[in-house]
Amino acid sequence: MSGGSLLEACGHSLDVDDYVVALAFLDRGRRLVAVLAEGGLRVMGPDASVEEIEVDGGSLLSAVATPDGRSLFLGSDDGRVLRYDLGTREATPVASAPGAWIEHLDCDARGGLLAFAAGKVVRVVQTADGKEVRRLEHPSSVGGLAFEGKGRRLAVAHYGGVSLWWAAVADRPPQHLAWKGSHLGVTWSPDSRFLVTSMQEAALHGWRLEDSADMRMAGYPSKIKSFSWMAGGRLLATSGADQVIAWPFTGRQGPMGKSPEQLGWTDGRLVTLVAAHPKGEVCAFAIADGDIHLGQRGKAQDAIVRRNGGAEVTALVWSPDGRRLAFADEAGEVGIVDLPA
Amino acid sequence: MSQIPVTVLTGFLGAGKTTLLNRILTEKHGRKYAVVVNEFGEIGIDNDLVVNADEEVFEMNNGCICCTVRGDLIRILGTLMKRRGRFDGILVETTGLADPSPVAQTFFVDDDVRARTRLDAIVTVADALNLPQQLERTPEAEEQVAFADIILLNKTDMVSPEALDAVERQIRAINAEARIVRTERCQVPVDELLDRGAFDLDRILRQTPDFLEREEEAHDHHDHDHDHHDHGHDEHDHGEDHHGGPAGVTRHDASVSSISLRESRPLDGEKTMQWLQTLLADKGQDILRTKGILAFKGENRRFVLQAVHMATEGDLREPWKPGENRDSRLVFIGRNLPVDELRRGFTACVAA
Repeated sequence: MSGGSLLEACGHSLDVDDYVVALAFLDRGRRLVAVLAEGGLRVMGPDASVEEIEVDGGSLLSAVATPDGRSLFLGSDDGRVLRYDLGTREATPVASAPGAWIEHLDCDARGGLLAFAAGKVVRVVQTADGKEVRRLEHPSSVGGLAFEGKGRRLAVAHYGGVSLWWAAVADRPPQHLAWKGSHLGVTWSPDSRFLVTSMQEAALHGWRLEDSADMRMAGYPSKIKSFSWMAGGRLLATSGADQVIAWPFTGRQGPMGKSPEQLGWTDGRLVTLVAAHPKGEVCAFAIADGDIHLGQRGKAQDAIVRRNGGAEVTALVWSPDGRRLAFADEAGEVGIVDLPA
Repeated sequence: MSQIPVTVLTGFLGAGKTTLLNRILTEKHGRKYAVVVNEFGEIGIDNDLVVNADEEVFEMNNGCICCTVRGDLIRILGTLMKRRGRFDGILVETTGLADPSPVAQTFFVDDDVRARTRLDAIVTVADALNLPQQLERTPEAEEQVAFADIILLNKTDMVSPEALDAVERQIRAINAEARIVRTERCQVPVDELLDRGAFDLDRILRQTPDFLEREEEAHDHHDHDHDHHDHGHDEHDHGEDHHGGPAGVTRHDASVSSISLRESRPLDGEKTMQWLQTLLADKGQDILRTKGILAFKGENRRFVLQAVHMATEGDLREPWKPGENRDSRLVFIGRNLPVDELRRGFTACVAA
């Protein structure tokens, strides 16, 4: 590879002059939405047009797209959940929890339910009308939450473990998966057999759900802030080391007793974000100094997406078809790369 | 990237913490602060940079037996960093009954917090009238005084000058190194408290090079049994001052005291680090704070050390200036300080 980068060769970028909290592709990857910390959205269309959407009220903290790719739920620091819709091209309030910061939200696979955390409580609402379905209490503040890929189970990470709820079934108590320490992010394996959390310590913890067997994935030099399922769910790619660390989740044992694979090359720099390609065995990853690479399983050399990045990358996402990769950084640069077919 | 200064504001209920917070938020001093308040606090300011915290204390599974952090604070600081253009600093209020260790340790333990913020100072608001009883009755009051870099001695108009001196002596007996600022109704210029770099002994000494000496002298003034140090340039000038029990204040056995050690001969870097590591691993539960500036043999830069219990951070900083007194200074604040052992251990670190 020469001194160039994919961004220079087949991408373009723009400056949105704000910290980008999240990026999401909507409309089957044709539109990219950048969610800005100071409130407001930038919607980038296929013809390189940019539309500014105003969002009333506080700062935006979180975002999740609906499975149909038609709308985006947003969480704000004034306790509101809003829905940006491609049809109306507006962001309208859906639910609110006054005084709370809405930092965690997720949509179920069918798009009918939305869960969001307000402190120790998770509220489950219907996406259609914002009507509250359930209010789930936890012993401490919620560190992360995730719906199961297929069903309607909801995993909520907190201090001391994970609570596993049936989101739509009233009065059904949660199953507790206990493990000492503070659990932050949480993710389901795509086949719903395993649950993995990132912890305050530089480690992941996992459970095999059939028997709640514990799995500890440690050895990282730094806190793991990002994970992404790759290779059809056979590997969980993670940040927190100077390479992408990918744990195998094949067989009944999952990663238990196995060593992780390593991919990507950083020359000793820390991987801060990972985003696996939705189909292949490629993982995009951001490095602490703002560079972005594509690493491929079993391949020694990376493709360079962005070189001499400068500012730390805050979001890295693929379009659903895996043809476009988008990133954003702290300084407000948003980049889109259209990969050669 | 520049680190955002964070000031931790502690103190007992009724000492004047809320008054101070409100003043900082409403006064025109040209600086903007994000404020993290505890959820029981009553702050009468409508400000979108005021955040409620739950004071969730988490144990860390990192092999450090006394290591606890504020999980909520890690999350809040992380989110505030996304909007760091909107403020110049962050204030963290803690409840009067809280042990200050978890909040202080948060700044040592979490990678992101360490990278993006800097603990500027722990400011303890104390009530001159009630502090003596609080120190008698509650270990938390003592800990808050012990952890403080700056003590705002408030309500000075409510006690006699003699009582005020007595309370100050009581504070000095626990924490000889903190700066004491006397006030009425928290009337103190904000820049005396914020963005001071008071957590960092090196910076204090650079701002006021005679800081420790001055405090020692002030202390000696009250305690004539102590040897007065020789502040000359004698090759073997060796200072040490224990600010514990003998300061003329009756205190119970397990009370907190401080000791400051000084050594003018260069230290063996490796030996010193090993000694401190073993010492804090062994006695870190009792030793609340350690601060130091160390001169290592063959090293032209000063080594600046900070510890809260066992959580330690140290790095090489600016070079010593030509002709500057390369004195190593080490301050311990804690319970049951093994004074002789500390003194001997420190002396044993002198380079061969």
